[in-house]
Amino acid sequence: MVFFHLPTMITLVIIAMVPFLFALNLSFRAYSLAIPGYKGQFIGLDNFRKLLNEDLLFWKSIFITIRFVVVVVVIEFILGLGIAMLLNQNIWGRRFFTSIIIIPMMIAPVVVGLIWRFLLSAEFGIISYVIKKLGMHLERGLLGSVHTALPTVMFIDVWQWTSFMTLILLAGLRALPREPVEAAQIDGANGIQIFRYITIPLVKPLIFVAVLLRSIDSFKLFDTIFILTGGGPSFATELGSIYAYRVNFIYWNMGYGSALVLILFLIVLVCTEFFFFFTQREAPQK
Amino acid sequence: MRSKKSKIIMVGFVMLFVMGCFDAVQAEPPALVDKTYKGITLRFIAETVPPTEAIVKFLPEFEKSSGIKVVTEQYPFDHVMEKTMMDLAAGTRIYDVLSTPYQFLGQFAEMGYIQPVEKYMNDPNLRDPNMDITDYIEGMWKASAEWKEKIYGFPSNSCIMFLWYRRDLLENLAERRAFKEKYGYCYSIPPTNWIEYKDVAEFFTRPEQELYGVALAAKRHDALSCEWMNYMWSFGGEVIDKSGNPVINSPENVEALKYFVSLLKYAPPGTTTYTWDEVTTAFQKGRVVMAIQWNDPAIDVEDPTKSEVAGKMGFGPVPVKKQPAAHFGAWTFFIPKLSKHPEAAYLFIQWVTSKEIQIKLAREGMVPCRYSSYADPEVRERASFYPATLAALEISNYRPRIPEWTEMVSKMQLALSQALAGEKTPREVLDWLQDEYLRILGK
Repeated sequence: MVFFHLPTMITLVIIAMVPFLFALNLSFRAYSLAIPGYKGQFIGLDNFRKLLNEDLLFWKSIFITIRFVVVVVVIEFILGLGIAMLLNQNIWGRRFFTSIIIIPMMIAPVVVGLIWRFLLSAEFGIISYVIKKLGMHLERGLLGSVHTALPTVMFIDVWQWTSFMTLILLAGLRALPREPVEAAQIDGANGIQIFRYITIPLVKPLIFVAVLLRSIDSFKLFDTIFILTGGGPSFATELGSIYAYRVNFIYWNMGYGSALVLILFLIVLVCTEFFFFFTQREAPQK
Repeated sequence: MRSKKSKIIMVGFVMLFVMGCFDAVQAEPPALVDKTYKGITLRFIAETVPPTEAIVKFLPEFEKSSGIKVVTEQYPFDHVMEKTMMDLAAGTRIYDVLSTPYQFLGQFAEMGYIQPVEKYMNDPNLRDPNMDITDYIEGMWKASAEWKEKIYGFPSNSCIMFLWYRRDLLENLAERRAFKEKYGYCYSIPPTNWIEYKDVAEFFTRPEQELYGVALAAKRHDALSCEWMNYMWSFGGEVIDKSGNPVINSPENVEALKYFVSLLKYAPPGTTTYTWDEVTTAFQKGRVVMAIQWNDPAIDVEDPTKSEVAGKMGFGPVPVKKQPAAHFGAWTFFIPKLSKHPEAAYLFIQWVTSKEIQIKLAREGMVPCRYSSYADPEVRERASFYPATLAALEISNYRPRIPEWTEMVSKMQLALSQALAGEKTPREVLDWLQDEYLRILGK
């Protein structure tokens, strides 16, 4: 049996374990491609100490990321569930709408960034034009102001990824057995009660999967934001991933950058474990 | 008889030899004449910009005369630096010639990524007899080629910043009269000090006509730090003083940043998402009157097929407060230490920066690095912005070339962006920046 697992294990070790251990090793060293003297000497936990104690920008970027993930995933979940329920009815053109709705998801994130940048351009963008015609005054354009930049990139993420939630939840809804619902109907349950006590508990495992995948995905979002704002204006849209890019590939401080990336990884890991714990605790109640 | 004959033959040989030498002195380095490096392929990495395209256009000439083939890789700015850095650090030895912004000179030299080129320059087999180092624009040579008394490369695109303005609007008599009525004095064309600059910007800001006084490249991007440093130098400030200590929160710099932020009122609404590219577009669409901008896109704004303001533009020096300023932004051709073909790479660099090719590039509207190219009458006729370019090059303020600069400039962009967003005052952001600089430089 072990013999048959070998190819998978070897592949995993090469593509996952080796880079991870390499980054781990690097995070304990002073290693920079740009600064002479940072030649990879061992400095213990110094990188981590600096990150956690001194690097205010890092913390700021973490808080922005958390805000981004929470808002985006909650909205995507509510909209996604609603749309999935709608598409689960036997309405006319269901298949057609399902295909239409997944189009944003199929566009490459960089292209999404470029399209929205043009749409939102303060002088030449159609959206800015419409906003102006509606009589609203935006001094700096949606992406150019610190107050609107983060909500705008959140909106774009929701626009692109809601259909992902929809797809997973729709698959869950369509696979549900009819019997419990019919039984509840005979017992006199109304629509809201059926939704609350039958549908939701039954699709719960898939809800967790969808929310978990979207959370991890939005936590490491990079390309769209990089194209749209590059982290600006000021620090408004500097997610952890953008900050990690800056440290690694603009400052070229790769030891410190590895430590930073590992901490991001730890945060995701803790969240995931928390989710699993949550699902497992709920499971016996069913 | 016999001896006489041999004498004649000998004299003949000597003459031939002398003529041969003479010939070599006149024309090209022997390595080119003999095609010593025939069959070699060089890999050259550069930014995707018109000057690179122009070099590629003339490459067949070099390939014909030397027998060396040059493969050019062009990428946007960020990717050029990523690829270059990876190649140098990992020692993959892909690239033989680099075109890199000059501020990386110190970093690359200190890290031992690039090699000095003096030994090739002094090699009679390689040296171009017509090279004439004094013909390179002095400021460019100092910034792009020399590091700690060694020569590491030759200057490439002579990017420099100066004032762009709408000559047709500023020279308009009715406008000038209206301005005098409102402000009580006549402005110079173009404005020579910052008070005039701001008044003119305010005067021409007419949102209802979609016309704005200035454009600022105010996105959190390299363009922002590049632009603001002009104000900084003009106001008498610096990033690092002569003894290497950061002085970014000096009163001059605070004043310069306050002034810069105050211009925001007269800029188009999208200005905080602008880089140098969008500033050019705003001019091409006729939306702005003035800006401190780079010289290399000037060719596009004067091109009637791309621009609504072709022929209506003027170019002049950056306004002066304490001292003239012009942010120098040239690139340099380097040879990596691990290059597989350093001699051939040197021949290529020497060829690109030769008088002959620089004039040809300049006639294409590019920005040459030699005095002789600017003196060429055809070049002078070609573009209205050459006099302003040369004048600015004579000033040439340059940014620190220390290894830590990439991190420092990124932090500067954040600080400037925060001040522009009104989150913090200029004083606060520059104080923060000073602390960061002290930490980065380990002072």
